[in-house]
Amino acid sequence: MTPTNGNTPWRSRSLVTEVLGVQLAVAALIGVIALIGLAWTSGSVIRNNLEHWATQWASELNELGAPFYLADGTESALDIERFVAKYPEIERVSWYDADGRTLQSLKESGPAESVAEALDAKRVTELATLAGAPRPYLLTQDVASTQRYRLLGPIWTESLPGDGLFDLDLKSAKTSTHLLGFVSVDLDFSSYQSAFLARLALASGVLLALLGISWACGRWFLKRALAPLSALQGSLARLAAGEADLKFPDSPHTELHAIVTALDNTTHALHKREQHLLHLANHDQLTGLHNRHRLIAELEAAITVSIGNNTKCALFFVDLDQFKYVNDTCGHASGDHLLQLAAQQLRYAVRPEDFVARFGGDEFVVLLRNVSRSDAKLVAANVLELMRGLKHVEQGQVFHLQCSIGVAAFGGARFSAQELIAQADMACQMAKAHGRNRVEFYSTAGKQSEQMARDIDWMNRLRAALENDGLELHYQPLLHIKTGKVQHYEALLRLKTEHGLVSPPTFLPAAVRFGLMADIDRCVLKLVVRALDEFRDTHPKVTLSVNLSGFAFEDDALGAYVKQLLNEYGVSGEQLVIEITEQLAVRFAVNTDKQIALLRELGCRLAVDDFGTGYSSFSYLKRLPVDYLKIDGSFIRSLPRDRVDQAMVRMVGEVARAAGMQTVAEYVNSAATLALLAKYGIDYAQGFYVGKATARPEPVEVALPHLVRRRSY
Amino acid sequence: MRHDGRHRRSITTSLAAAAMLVIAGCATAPPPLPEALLPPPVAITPEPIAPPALTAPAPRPKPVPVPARRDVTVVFDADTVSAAATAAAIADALPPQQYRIATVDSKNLTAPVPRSQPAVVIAVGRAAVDAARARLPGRPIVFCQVFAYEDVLKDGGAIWGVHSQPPFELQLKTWQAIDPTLRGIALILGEGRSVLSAEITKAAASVGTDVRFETSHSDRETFYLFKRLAAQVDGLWLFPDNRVLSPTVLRELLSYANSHNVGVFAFNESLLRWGALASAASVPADIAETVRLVAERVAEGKTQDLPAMTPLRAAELHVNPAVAAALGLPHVVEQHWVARDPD
Repeated sequence: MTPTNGNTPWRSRSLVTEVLGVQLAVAALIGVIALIGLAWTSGSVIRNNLEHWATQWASELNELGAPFYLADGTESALDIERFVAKYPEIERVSWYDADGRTLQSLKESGPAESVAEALDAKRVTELATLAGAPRPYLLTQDVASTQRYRLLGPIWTESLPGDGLFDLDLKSAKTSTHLLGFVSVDLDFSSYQSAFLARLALASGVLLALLGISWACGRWFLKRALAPLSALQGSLARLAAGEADLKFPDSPHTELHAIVTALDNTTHALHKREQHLLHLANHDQLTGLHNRHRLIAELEAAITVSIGNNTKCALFFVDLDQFKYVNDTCGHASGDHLLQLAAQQLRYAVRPEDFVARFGGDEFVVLLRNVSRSDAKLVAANVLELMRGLKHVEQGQVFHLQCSIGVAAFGGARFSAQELIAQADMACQMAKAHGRNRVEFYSTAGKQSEQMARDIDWMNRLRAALENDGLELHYQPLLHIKTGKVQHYEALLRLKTEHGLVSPPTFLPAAVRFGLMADIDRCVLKLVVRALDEFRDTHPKVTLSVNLSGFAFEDDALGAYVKQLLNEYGVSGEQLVIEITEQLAVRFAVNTDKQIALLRELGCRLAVDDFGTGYSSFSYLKRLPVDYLKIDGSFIRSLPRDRVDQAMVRMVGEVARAAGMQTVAEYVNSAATLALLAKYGIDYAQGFYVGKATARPEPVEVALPHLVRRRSY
Repeated sequence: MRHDGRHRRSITTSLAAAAMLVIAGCATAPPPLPEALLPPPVAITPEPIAPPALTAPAPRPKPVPVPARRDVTVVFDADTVSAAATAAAIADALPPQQYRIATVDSKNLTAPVPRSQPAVVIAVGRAAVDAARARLPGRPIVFCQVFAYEDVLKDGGAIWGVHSQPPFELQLKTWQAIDPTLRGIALILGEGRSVLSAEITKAAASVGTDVRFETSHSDRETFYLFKRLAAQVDGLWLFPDNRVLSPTVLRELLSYANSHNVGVFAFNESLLRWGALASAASVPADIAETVRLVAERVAEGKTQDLPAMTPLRAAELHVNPAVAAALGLPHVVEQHWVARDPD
């Protein structure tokens, strides 16, 4: 098993093995130190003892010197042989005359093969002075071996003066000393060393055996002690797999009990958090209804059940009429309130087993299970009735809410969840087209079916394009009106088809209908950042704008994704301008707020697209966290002829300047328009007059009203 | 190389003896010695003769012949402290009515004028004997406190001796009284002690003990021999043979004997503190009395049946009770007494 934690892989190790390993390593270390200490101490003790024994043997020197003073040398020689045999450490005994000449060398078995060398004069003098001394011997160590010693001593006799010893006093008696010769004893203690090393080896073996036993016993004991911990492995594995509703086996040990308790608390907290996250992931925070993500899952499940049980279901796509009016006139808070009321009515209108979700904006989806087409029609009518009965009072005004309902009835496996939603959406559009506040059923025959087929075709093309790099960007220049320079381009998405490039208005409805917008947004971001990387050499200062849908900001990982792209391609965030709709900027949901803040931290700049068409309140400009205002083209197209548009554009330009924002005018198609924009202090111009979108950023040639014609980026 | 065990003389003693020989005209071709090295001559002063009584003349009785007092010179070993005391005791033992006594140490002995030649020379200690022979040649000598008497006697001449050791039989009986189990005794002597050995053997036989003699040539050999005898005997009888003993060997020997449960019967009380079981020493009064008897016979010329060596009759005995207890002889109570040979 090679689990990973973050980026660092590690090899799995047994705690028991590791603890025992450390224990044994420490024990072995202590053992080795002990053995070394034992060896050192024993060696020292042996050396001290050897010297002590040598001193003891020194007292035997006179005994060994018996040949010098015994009349019968034979007996003494035998005695000496016995003496040597008694002590295996004695290698050889040698005798020297008083002048240091070697007389004889004897070993255990008799005369030694090698006779000791004669003593030099200096040594003879030194030894002679020892005769009668308290320590009448010399102990020398062999230079070549620490285990070999030589004991040397003089042999002498003493006699007392005077006949009869009548006044004998042992303490003060003076004696006459007569030097007879010298004796040396060669001692070899290497046998002790060998014996000691053999015992040291035995001790090491015993130590190893004890370590082995310790290992086995320790392993058994630790495994037994850690058995409750091991029993947690299964539960922990299930926890790691995502299962939060767990019960951990308890342990009688205090420590393990504390761990189990902590784990229980943790899983409980995880379970609660999971439930909360699950709720957040599946519900709309504003209305409390399920969200689109959950809708897809429920719908797919319902399709599966429908197939299995051969039952009928119906899907309502509900779009509130006049919601935009309430929102625009009374503010988004009022709009939110209205949405909450509508959601409440929808819940009242259906059975508990039915499913209600907010699809987005003022759109709701209702899934009715086990319902016939006629029953579905009744329910739809009931919803319309309930909605009609809803009165919303805001700022002294009474609003009657109405809605349009598109119904897609299904049973079996003919359509996918996305297709059913698209069918219901299409029916809802039909209801709106037929005058609103009504119900329309999707018909598989006729125009709806054809539209549906077209949408599905686009959906398939888009999916293929996303998978096979079938999307590309074109770049439309933004002219800096004052300087005439072009360093800023808007990246526009194009879908490659067998008939040529297709613009977004053609395929985006299908993308929205079939839930592909988030993927398209990510694809666009990647294409833009990659393009900035490609243009690094040819257009090092170029800035690219890109449009993102509101779906992109529903993705919590948007900021992280942009950061990853910038890091991957080494592109500065300052070269990227992200355009968002006015509605998204103004409503500024909590999640959107976080994503925008993160994008600004990366250096990205923000632009509000189509400004003036949505919430036309200038007060919003004070708190909008954006760098550019793109004035909606509806104010620009007729600018030279429409005084209202002129006033509007002039005013927007002044307010934006005051707010520290730069302004961009879209749909600039004439020199007159450009001249007016320059007059009103608008910063950038974009449109066919400035330049059409091209496959690569191209230089533009524009006749500026106050500048000479020039070629610029 | 063996120690020959021959007696030694101090330079002073030798010079003094040579000087006396020169004075006496007996020295043969002695090397001339400087005058300063010679000891001052000591005149042997005869004891003053008692003056005649000054009473009124009475009718002159028939004169009774008063025996003439004999001159006796007591020479003692100048290097032996106890010799002076023994000499004094001898002088005291000799009746002044019969003897004119002159006491002198061996170093200061000079040859007297011919008319004052002593009738007997009593020599206390070996050095005194040598001095007497050298400086008073031809004079009969009675000696005592000489262990190596055989060496003295072998040179011949008019010389008789008194044993320096207490009676052997008395010592053995005492030892047996201390240690009733005593059977085998070791005795180590230097060369030339055959007469002494024979006397000891005779005494041992009379008390039923077995003495094993060993002849040693040095102190080391003495110890060596004893170690080999220790397992075979019950006791060691130490004799003061200075040639084969040394303080070191005496200590080792006594230590070894104690560790091997061998009782040592010593010749000197001082050895008790080193581990001897008991000691027997001669009694000065006994020495003096015995010397007097011998000297009288010599002076009277009654020497036909006078033995060369006259034994003593008493012994001063000491026992070490601690050693006795260690040897398993707890019944020893008396530690010091004087015993006399009943004969």
